[in-house]
Amino acid sequence: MGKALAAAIGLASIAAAVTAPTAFGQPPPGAAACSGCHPASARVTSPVVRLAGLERDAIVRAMQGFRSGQRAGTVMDRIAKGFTDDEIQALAAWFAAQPKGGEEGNPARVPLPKGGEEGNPARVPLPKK
Amino acid sequence: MTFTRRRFLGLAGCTALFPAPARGQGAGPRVVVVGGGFGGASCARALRQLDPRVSVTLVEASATFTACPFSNAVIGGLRELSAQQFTYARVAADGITLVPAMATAVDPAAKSVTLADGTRLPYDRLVLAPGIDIRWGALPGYDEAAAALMPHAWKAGEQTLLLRRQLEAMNDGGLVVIAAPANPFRCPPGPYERASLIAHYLKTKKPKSKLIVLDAKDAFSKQRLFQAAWAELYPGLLEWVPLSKGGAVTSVDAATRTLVTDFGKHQANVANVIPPQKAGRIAEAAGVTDRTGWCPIDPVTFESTLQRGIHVVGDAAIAGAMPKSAFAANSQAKSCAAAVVTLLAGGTPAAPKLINTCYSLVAPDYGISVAGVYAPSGGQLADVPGAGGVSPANAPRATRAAEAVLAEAWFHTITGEVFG
Repeated sequence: MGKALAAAIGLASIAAAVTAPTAFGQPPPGAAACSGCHPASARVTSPVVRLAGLERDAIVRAMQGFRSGQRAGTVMDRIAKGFTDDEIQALAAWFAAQPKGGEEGNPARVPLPKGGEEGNPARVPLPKK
Repeated sequence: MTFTRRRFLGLAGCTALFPAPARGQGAGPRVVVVGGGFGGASCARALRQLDPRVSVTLVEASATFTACPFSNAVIGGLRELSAQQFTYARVAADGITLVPAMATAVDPAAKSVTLADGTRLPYDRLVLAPGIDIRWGALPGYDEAAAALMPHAWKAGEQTLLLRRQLEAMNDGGLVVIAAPANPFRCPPGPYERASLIAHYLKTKKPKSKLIVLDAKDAFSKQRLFQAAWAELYPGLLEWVPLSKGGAVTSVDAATRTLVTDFGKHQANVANVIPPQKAGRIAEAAGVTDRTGWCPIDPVTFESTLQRGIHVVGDAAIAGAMPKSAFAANSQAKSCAAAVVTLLAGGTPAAPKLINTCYSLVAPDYGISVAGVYAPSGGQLADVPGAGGVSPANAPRATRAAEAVLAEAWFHTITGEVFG
């Protein structure tokens, strides 16, 4: 009985290791989508907080607060409702483990640059007048 | 058990990915990505980031990408087209091979992409992110020649500027007509954001003018928010005619700028025809489109259900509940890249969770949004129940102003991630 259980757990672990994205060093489900608004690159300046290197508990509290409605959000109140406790824990652990990088590691809100694009070196330069 | 979990994870994390022998730098699996928009460029970068051993080639004919989000602000005179344009220099700097050519054919059996000059690019896995093409002729009278007189402006660039110039040239007191298509099409709230920003232009510059939206639908994205804002900001200026009230345009005559519906004719001074669409041309050539003209996909891997080894992301894909938006394309591209890397390594991709957030400007300082969370369910990407939705009705103007700022911040962030 005990052996069978141990074997079953062993198998389950292997199955989890094979299917879990983190087995390939990949972000947990949902994490990759966050950088649509939360800048992944320290080169990008935004009033939206960078998540890399934030404290795990802070991310968990924020997500739970948005989800319950205790914390006001613009879109995060709507998005957080799509995540389970386990998913929030996995997201928080993953972002907390990312290097902060650059000055944008400071979660202080920064004002938008005028026009909003100066920070992006891929921008086609404005024609000279 | 001697085969411990720890040891197994170690294997999975390293050597199991690609058998160690022989695969040196540049000799890893080859992934070709066709299309350098929000889907394709995002996917190419995510592939390199997830596994630098993967050799990534991005096929894109244009040297410059012109973004559609915020192009309605260009039409409304609030922004210059150059603010929409990006190069691929930083993408190339990631070690991605840029091929500035048109992909004309795909051989799924031989696993190769053919370019316009006949060159063949072999791949282990192919990602198609071709965006949309116009279904010329689907609306009688609307062909490429007609688009030079009645611009669609649904692919950003010259068409965007043409529509803007026509509005600028119009006399005060003129009639502007927008024809909006039936679902599905690129950017579901786009026609209504455009109507809003054209109305803003008319209100501030040509207040005796009128704008009519002829719609092939009875409902649209963020409808209540748009209509409430229109009543507040553009009363008497902007009229929306739904399908049930004769809104569906059945034919056009470009020479006279006439739009015909079952209920009558509208002769416009400026006509913007947003026509029926389909997946970008290469998707059909690759055999990944179904009879709808769009591409059915597996919701976990984004692999075509019609051709193995070919993945489709972005506007071209049938992505269930996900709209055809830049945010969705970027979100799908990153999930697809994770699946491709896992499949190349012989693993089983995990079910992804995706997000969409889509802002619309009703005026320069008035933004509204829709958000959604998606996961595979029943073979489709389905809405996660209880999540998502639109901005609150009856929110104070400060909230609308904040969303307008966040809209611009989103554009800045996502273009930074994709091209910066």
